[in-house]
Amino acid sequence: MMLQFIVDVLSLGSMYALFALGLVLVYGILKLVNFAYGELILVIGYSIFLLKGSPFPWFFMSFIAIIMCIFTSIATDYVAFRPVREKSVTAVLITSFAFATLLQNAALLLISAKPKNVPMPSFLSDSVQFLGVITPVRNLISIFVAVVCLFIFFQFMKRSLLGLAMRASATNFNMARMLGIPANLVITTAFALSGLLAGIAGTLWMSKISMVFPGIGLEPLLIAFIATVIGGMRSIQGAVLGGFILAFIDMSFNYLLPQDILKFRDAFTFSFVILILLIRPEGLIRGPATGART
Amino acid sequence: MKLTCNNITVDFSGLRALNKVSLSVETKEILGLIGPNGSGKTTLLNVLGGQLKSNEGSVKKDNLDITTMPPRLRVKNGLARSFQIVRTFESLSVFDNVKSASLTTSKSNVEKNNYCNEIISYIGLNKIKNELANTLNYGDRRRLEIARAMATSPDFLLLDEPAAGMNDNESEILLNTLNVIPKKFNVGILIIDHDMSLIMKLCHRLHVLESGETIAEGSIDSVKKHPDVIKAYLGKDF
Repeated sequence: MMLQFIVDVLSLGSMYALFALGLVLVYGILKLVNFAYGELILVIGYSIFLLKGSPFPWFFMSFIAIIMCIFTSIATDYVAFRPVREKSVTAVLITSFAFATLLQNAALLLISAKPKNVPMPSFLSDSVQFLGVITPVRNLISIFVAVVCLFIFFQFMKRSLLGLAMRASATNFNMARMLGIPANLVITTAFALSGLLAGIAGTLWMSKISMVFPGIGLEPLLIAFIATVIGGMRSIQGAVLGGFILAFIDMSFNYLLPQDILKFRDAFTFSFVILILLIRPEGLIRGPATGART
Repeated sequence: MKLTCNNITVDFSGLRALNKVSLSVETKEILGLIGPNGSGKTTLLNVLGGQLKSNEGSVKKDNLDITTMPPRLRVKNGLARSFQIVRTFESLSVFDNVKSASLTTSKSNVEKNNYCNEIISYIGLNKIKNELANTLNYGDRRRLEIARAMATSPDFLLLDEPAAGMNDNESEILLNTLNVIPKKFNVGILIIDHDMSLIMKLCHRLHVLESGETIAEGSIDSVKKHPDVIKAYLGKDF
C-alpha cells in the first residue's frame, strides 16, 4: 500500500516536475510567465493525432510532435515576447494570452471542438506487478524518463557554457548582457528547452488521457504554475520539488478523500497550496535575491 | 592602446552633469578619477562603459569610434568595468561568476578555465572559489567583481569605487593586487575612489572633476598642489 502510493506520487510528480521546469526556465530568465505554455500540450496532442494515418512508428510520431513543440515554443518567443519584451510587462502578458488563444482557435477551426483520440501504443497501458504494486507500464516509464531528463538537464545547466550563460542570465539578466553574454541566444535556448520539456511531459500526459481537445492546455498550465509557485518561482530546483509536492498533495487526497467528495479534490489541493503560500510566500526554495524584473 | 573620450557632455533633464570633459588612458597605466560627490565621476564611467549615452562628445578606443556602441560590444572590444553597487551573480559560485564573463572571449573551454583560475588565484579568491557569491563578505564580493571584469580579457578596466566599504587591511591588499594588473595583464585602469591614500599610492596620473568640469589633470604631485583641487576636494591638510 505504501509502496503503491510512492509509485503513484513519483509517476505523477515526474510529469508535473518536467512541466514546471519548462515554465520556470523561461520565467527565470525573462521574469515573465509564458501563458501560452499550456498550448504546447495542445501541439503535442494534435501533432500525434494528425500523424495517426502515417506509416511511421509511434515513437517517430511522438518525436516529430516534440520537435513541433520546440518550434512552437520558439515561435512564442518571436511572436509574443520579442516584439514587446523591452516595452511593457503588461503587453507581454496579453500577447502570450493572445498567442495561446490563437492556437486554441486554430485547433477549433481547422480540426474540431470535439475531443480527438490520440493513438498510444497499447503496451503503455499494460499493468505490471512487482513487490505487491500494480501499476501501468506508462507510470514506470514516466519516472524513468523524468529521472533521465532531469539528470541531463541539470548536468547541462551545470557543466555546459550555455548552461552557465543561462544561470548567469537568470540571476541578473542586465548584468549578463553587460558582460557580453548574447541575450537572444540565451532566450531562444530557454524557449527551446522549455518546449522540449513540455513536449516530453506532454507525451507522458497524452499516454495517460489519450485524447486532445482545444482547451486541453489549461490544466497543465495551471499545474505547472502552481508547482512553480509552491517550489519558488526563481529556482529551477524549486520547480522540480514543487512538481513532486503537488503530486504528493493530489495523490494524498486521492487516497484519503471518500468517493463522493473526490470530485472536489482540486478545491482541497488549492486550499492546501494557499496554506503553503501563507507560510512561505516566496515558495519553498528561495532563488537569487535579484530576481525582480528590472 | 589608448582609450580616449573627447568633450563629453551629459545633461540630466536640464542639469549639466558633465561639461566638455576629455581624458585618455593608455594600457599599462593607472589613471585616478577623483572629485567630490556629485562631480560626475560615475557618470563619466557610465559614458565610457556604454551604460549612458552622452549628449555630446565621442569615445574612442585607438581609432575605433565606440560612442554609440552598446555595452556588450564594448566588452567584446576590451572594455570591462565594475560597479559602485556590487552586481555579482548571487546564486552562482565564485568560479562560475568569473567564468560567465569569459564566455564571449575567443578562448577554448580549457583555456577559459585556466585563465579564470589564474585570475581567481591572482585576485586571491582561490580558497573560496566554490562558494556561492551571496555568501561572501563585502570585500570579497568587490574583488570578485574585479576578477569577473578581468575575465573578459579587457584592455581597459574601469573600476567604480572598488575600495568602498573596505577596511584598511583589505584596501591594502586591493592596492597590491591592482598595482600589478596593468603590467601583468597589459591593461589600462581607470579608477574612481574616495580612499585618497589608495589613490595616491596606486595611480600614475590623476584627473579631477568638480561639478562636471575638469579642474585639474596630470601627475600626482601637480594635482596635489593645485589650488582648485585643494579648495574643492582635498583640503589644506592633505
